[in-house]
Amino acid sequence: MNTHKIAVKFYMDKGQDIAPETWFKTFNKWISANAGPDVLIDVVDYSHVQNGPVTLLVGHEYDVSIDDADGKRGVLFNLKRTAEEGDFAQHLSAAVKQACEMRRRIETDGDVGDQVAFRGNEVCLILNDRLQTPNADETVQAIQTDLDAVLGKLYGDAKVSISRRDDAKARLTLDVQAEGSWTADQLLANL
Amino acid sequence: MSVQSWKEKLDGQLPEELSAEVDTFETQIEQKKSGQIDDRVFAETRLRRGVYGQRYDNGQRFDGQITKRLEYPCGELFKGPDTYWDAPGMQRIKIPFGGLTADQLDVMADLAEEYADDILHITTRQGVQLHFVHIEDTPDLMRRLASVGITTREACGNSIRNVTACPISGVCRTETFDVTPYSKALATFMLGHPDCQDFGRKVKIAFSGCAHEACGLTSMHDLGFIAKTQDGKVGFEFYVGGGLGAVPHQAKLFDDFLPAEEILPMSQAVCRVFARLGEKANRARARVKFLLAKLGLEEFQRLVQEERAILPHDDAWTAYLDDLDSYKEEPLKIAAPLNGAAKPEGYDAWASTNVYKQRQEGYVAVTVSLPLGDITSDQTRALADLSRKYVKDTIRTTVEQNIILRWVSESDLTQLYGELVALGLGEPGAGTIVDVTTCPGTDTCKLGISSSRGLAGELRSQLAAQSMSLDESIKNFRIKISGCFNSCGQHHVADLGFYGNSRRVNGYTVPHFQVVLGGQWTENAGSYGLAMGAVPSKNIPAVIECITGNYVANRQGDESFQDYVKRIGKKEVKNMLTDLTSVPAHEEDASYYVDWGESREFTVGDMGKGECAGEVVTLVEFELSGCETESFEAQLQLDEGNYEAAYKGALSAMLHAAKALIKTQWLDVPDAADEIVKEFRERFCDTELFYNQFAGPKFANYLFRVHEEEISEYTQDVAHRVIEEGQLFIEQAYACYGRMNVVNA
Repeated sequence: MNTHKIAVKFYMDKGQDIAPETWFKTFNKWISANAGPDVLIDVVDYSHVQNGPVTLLVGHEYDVSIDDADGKRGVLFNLKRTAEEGDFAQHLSAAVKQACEMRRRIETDGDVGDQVAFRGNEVCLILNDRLQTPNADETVQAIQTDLDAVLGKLYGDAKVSISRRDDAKARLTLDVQAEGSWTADQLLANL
Repeated sequence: MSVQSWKEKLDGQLPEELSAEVDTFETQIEQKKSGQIDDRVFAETRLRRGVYGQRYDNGQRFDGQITKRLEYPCGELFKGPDTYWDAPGMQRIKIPFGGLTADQLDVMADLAEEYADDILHITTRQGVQLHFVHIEDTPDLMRRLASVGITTREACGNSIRNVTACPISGVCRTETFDVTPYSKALATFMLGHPDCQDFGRKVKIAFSGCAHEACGLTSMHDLGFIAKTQDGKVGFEFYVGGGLGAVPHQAKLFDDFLPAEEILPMSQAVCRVFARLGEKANRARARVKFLLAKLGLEEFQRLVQEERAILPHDDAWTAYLDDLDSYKEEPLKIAAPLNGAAKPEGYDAWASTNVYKQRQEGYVAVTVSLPLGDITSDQTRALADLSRKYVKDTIRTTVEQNIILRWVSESDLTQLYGELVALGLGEPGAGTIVDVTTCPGTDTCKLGISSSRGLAGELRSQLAAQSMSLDESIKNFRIKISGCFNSCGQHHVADLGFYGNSRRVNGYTVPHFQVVLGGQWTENAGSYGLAMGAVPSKNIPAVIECITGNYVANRQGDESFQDYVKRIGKKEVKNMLTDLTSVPAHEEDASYYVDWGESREFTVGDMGKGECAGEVVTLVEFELSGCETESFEAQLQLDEGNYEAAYKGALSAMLHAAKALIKTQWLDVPDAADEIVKEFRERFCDTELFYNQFAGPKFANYLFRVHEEEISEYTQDVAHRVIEEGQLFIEQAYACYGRMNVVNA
């Protein structure tokens, strides 16, 4: 069982009221400032749909969106493809690390950084691959060791709970809760 | 734990033909990656699978100040001329007559999540588009669609596009009869039909149940059918040569009563004439409408009827007519009135615009309004569940970019409304001035000039806020917006239409929209609007306020907007708009230099070469490319030790190459191998057309020998020999075709 198609969402504690236009400008600024190696392509406004991607930064390897799916606003890092070979644990670790970096980038952004804060102890993991990782307990059992390893590293000794969303049609979605509060820097230092 | 591919997982579950088509396309992708297919041929190949390019796929993007390179990791690998391999693209999905099932919605929702951006976009021709899709994901995407009976074949390219039909056909109170089975039959018949593979450009077909409503918009289609009965017989008024684009043409009446059993063969005959005589080189004039204008209706009719008379009979022309009852829909729930049920807040406003009383007592068709035609994956799955709960599989997309649930029992309306509201799908205003239609424009289209979606979003917000106070006479106006003159947003048939352009002002390029007024939506897009002049994008909301305000104040009696525009004339309208055409200096108001929904300063530099017109690839080139793929697949069979399959695949590739050449002289060449060989011998070998300058008939003889030889055992050596010979034969076919073109030129 392996997939690199992993999405990671951090929920907002502050900044839910930032206008979509502001995110649109911010992501466009990122494209403009981008010096590689990531390929950032375009920004799309989907603020007219409910509980979807509000503002989407489209890249080649990954997308980043201000995301309202599940009714809670956050930043969703969606790893679409990778040049790196590796097993599931390596892909998961890479996705979580990149998501933390994205969270930090937003929190330190000159335009929105001081208006936004993310919950560090709550993260949503979505395995965006119904073929390799169907939404079932068996899948969770199969990846449990890898999950424990990556989340153990991310949160150190803090107690972590994982629950699978039980929706037969949805992708495998895991809600992760950890004790304590965690800044992006702390999480990245752990990784 | 599952580790197989989608191909393995769905093995045996897909219709054989669809499965083979996707396998072939996957092979072609591999061939392109290894440099075996020309960029142009591959572009047309993918377009005919609905795999479209998207803005910025030429590797550059204007960031508001300078144009920057997008360094896609594919290097110099392209999927078409100037189209980078790794650039995300659009996948168009054909939905004939807009008919969908709940399972199909579920699958498309999953695909949008896994391969696109979590959004399904309903198009102005009842199709679905997924954006930001990587080409290498498309074979699996297609397999998953095929698992629920959907093909993307010929969703783009020079082919028969999605066949559209009135979305309430079958439940409509005023229709002559349900056109659904006829539209489905024609779509099925034309899909991949040999007579539809050599067009200069696309052909669009639509069906309407009645003449006076907007229905299928037949007047703006290449082929249009309006239901009609005559002396107890079922048939259609048959129209040809309509179309929008930069030069809109109203369709002409070809036959005021075409019996139902004639719609397939007559369409086939039109396609043959179009393929034979239609423009190929000049893309701007390669539609049926231009051929019709060139020949005149009478001559066009004569040629088509002549063609019809010599068409080889096909049982498929009428086979579906014996089975019309199978197309009938059934409700899930018993019809019951909405007696005294408590109505939630907002219900009445929603019901007044989004609920259509069916001709079947106790049932209604509910329009689910989709802002800008967009719906998320979660919403789509939830809508599929609502369909299962209330109406079975009676779902239709609409050309106004909404979704209709048919056969809702009236007694379920309040509950359904509540559930739609909870999903963010309960907006009122379907079919009103708020329900703005738009093409993707500069958001994703390579041809987009101005931001049609940005403008549409702005107008939708502004008009929704005013909807309660709008005058009744303008509430049902249609607003339609295209990002450029190509009319994908169907601006010509709106009361208030706009298409994107630009103007140089004060040394800057400024986004504008051309104002097109007075188009007629009803009577199947009965007349087109008049262009009134270009106005800066940022002034378009003011244009609407000015025009509608003037109409409300000055209309005479029950004068329609179309009549009002005609009465006051272009000059008066232009006078009204004069003040709105000016652009303030950049330092005075820089917002005019940034389009709606954008943050970057405006440019037209992001435009690329459009793919709407497909690539100019001749039928022979296209078919020979397919032979190469077949030969390549034979090689794969050889590698896997399937010698018989390899041998037969190579022979089939040779036969198809021979057939492609014969088609240059005789379109109706049969499929039988003996016939192909006989015709090829007479037309290309006996005439020495196929002869090689040095080797004479050597390569032709490969075909003759392989065709005649009897194999007692398919060994590796035998299969290998035939594959080699087959490749040489195909190469010689290319050379022969090249010589023929030189001679013909």
